[in-house]
Amino acid sequence: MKAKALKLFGAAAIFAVALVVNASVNTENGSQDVNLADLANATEANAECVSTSFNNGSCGISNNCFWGRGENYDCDTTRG
Amino acid sequence: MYKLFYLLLFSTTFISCSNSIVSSKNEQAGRLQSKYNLIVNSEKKILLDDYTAPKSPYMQIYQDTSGIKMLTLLNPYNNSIYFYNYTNGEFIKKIHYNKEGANAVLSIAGYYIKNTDSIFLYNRPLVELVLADYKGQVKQRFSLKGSEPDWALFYPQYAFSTVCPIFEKDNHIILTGLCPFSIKESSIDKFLFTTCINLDNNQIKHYHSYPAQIYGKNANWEDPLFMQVYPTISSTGKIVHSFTASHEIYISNWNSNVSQSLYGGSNVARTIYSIDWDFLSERTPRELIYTHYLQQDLYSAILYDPWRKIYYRFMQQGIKNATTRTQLNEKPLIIIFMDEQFEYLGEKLIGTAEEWNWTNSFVTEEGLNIEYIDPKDIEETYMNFKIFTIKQI
Repeated sequence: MKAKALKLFGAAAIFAVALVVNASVNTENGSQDVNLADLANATEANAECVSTSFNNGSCGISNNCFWGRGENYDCDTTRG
Repeated sequence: MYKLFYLLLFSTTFISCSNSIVSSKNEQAGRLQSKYNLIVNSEKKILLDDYTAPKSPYMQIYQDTSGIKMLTLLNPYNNSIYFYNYTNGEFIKKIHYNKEGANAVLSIAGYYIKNTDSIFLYNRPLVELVLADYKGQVKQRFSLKGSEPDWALFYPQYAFSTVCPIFEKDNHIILTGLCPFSIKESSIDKFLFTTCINLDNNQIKHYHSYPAQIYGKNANWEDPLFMQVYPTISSTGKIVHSFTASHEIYISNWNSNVSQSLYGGSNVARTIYSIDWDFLSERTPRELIYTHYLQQDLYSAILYDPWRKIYYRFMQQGIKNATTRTQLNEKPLIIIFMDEQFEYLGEKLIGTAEEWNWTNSFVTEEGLNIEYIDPKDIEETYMNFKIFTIKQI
């Protein structure tokens, strides 16, 4: 009985830690009025990333295209 | 039933802890005393032609054999370098480079004028350095990318600017590059961001790694703006590097991977955090990168002033409540000044990047030149600079 209580207490403690970690993470980087359309509009004045059928790079938040590391290509480094 | 419960419990705990947030604490925050102030001492106006806009992406101060100090700037629209007399602002000449043919340079994104017969041009689309002359003739090409499809994991890429220039040291061309995405812990000591070209034998070697305690540990710095590195040359010929997320500066020989770090931070900079997202598992949302960049205090350029024997280090202050509606150029710009031993002398908040195009900053005998965006100059007739010097309080 005692061992089972200890197990349950340990499990509850781990669960509590997980909740606290998740809660603090959400607090630090909480969603703040995210609007992707606005993000695109905010940066299009200096748009340099160009997407073509030969995309090989990733577009940074300042709209510069750099060679990517092998996944999620969204711009062509030869064009912008 | 219990087994399932524990499995769920441990999975939750594991997922919660799989991404590590790296923090860079400012040990001197609130303890530094300003002894000097930064004041605008003079201004400079450069009259531009109809084909040239302010906020040129690259500039270099160049002194030719006749001793004329020239301000050179890149016009990316016509692939040309313009030369002006720095003292009186008069236009001298321009050099145009073709985008087609045997002498093609597709898109110049940085250069180093050694002399008029040896002009090194960074050709961004092909990731190559081109040696050309004042007639636009190409003499030699140096490929800066690897031949393997995944070369970007091992070799630097480049985002040159006036404050991250191509320069020469001991007959080597020094190119300060960057890794434009987070670096895996297993590669942190292997990824070298400086490329050096030996002009005697054209050999290319790489040096300098990112500080492992900040950029290692699979920390998420998933954008070139976090990964940019800024160099300057000290009075003793060493390279001083400013990393965006470090309150310290790093000093090394140009051809060595060993560096010494010293405090070089701001009195008001807070702890800098990496992005809370496991980049190894899933692509980091663009809006998270964007707001995180805006919210963090991040350092940028470092410039050495050999006339006053001081360093200027720039910091872009975080906007605590920034959202995706906030513009990148809304971050307040602080300039920290330090003596030759990197002892703190003071710092000043000068405004935002809306009015200061800080990437066009350079030092002359007159002081620290920073491009000023004059709101009254709607026609973009001039490129404007304000020149700062320090004054004892």
